[in-house]
Amino acid sequence: MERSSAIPADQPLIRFHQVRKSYGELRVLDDLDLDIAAGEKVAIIGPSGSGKTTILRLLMTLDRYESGTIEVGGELLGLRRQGDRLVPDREAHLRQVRKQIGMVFQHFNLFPHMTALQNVIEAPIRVLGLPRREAEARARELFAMVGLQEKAGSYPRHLSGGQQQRVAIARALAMRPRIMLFDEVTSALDPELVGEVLRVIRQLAKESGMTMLIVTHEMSFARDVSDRVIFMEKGRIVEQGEPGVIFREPRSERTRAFLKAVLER
Amino acid sequence: MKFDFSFALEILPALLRGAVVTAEATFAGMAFALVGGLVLALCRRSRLPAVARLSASYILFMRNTPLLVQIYFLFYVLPFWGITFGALTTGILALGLNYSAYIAEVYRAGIDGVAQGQWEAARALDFSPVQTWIRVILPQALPPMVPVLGNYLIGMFKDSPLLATITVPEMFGAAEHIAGETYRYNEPYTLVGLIFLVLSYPAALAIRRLERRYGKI
Repeated sequence: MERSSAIPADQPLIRFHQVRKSYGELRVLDDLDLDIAAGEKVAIIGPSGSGKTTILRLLMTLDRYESGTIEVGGELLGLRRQGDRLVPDREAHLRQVRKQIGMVFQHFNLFPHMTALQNVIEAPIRVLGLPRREAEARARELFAMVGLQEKAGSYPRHLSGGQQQRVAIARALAMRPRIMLFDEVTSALDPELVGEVLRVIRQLAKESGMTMLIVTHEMSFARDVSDRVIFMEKGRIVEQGEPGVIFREPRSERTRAFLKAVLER
Repeated sequence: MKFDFSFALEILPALLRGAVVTAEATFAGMAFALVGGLVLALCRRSRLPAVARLSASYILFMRNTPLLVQIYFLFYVLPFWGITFGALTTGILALGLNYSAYIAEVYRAGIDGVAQGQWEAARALDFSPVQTWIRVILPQALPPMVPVLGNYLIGMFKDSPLLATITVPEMFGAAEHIAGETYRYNEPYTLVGLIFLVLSYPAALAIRRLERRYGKI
């Protein structure tokens, strides 16, 4: 799955430098600094409105940031240097950088007018220019991986939420991204369907060299799947570290309070 | 009052010739409105505030002034500025300009009806803007528009008699002409009503079926 990386091994694959983002009055990212190494699996936890999802949305260029810089693979995201100023990037280059990133959404966002298979092959054919046969072969492998071989011809409305989300994971993987973003991917699911989705992501985390950013409210999942857990509150990183440390002996009082609240739910 | 069937039969060909003009005006007006509405809807989404505001003002103006006034304006006022069209062309223009304001709103509702997440998924998969529109947004936005546009087609069909006031020889004008010459009103106007009914009703039924299939906006 991993593409060859052009950046030196000691440089982070993703770098947020003093990134600020507000929605109206509310500052959701407050001069955030964050480095993520290639291949790292990072879980981001915290109360809602803490800026977790915003990190993913900025990386996917679904929203713009006000100040600071985001670099992916050593290249600026959404901006380019002109003299000593930063100006909005050209669409073609932006797409080149963005191509490395895939995203799975809370509400799946499958295309309802396409079958599961069409959802998965559409972008590889149209965007990557893959021949249909090759795209379909890749899709079959992915459907096997997410356990949906039987459902390739089904429309999303005929699939359960868990099945839809697994199709969405296959759709993102079909673009062979180096970086995968998971935005509360089980929050919209009935409890009995959560397990099948988490299983797929756990397996992916174990077997692929992809860099993964996972925003989640499932604490045990965050602990198992990640190399590093980040706890955020009010647009800032309060505490981060190995999952064992964060979950067993958090240093911050706020982390402790949050974990107590969610674990006693 | 007596309904004279032989007289009715006698004037039927003249009325049907008028009906052909009615159909011409309606279909040409609708074609104009479909394109004009699209232009207005796209302008309204424009990132340039002046363009968006201009489009919004046009829609507001057209929807809040009577079609009959607009028809008269085009036919009697524009020639003072040296702009002259034939009666039928003016009529088609008036219907098209008026209905494009309504149809712009249909397009807008259809496009707004597509979930925000669809745009985001398209972006995450790196679709170009054109691919996003053609492969993702329009296939979802268009089907619910179809019945609504069908209703506007029928609406325009029924508005077309207004064109008689600017001498367009459509069906209602033909009936007026016959009535004026023979002083017999029952047969021509009854027939005009019946012809409208015979054409509109099946169309309305077809649209109801479309609505059941595609849903409403």
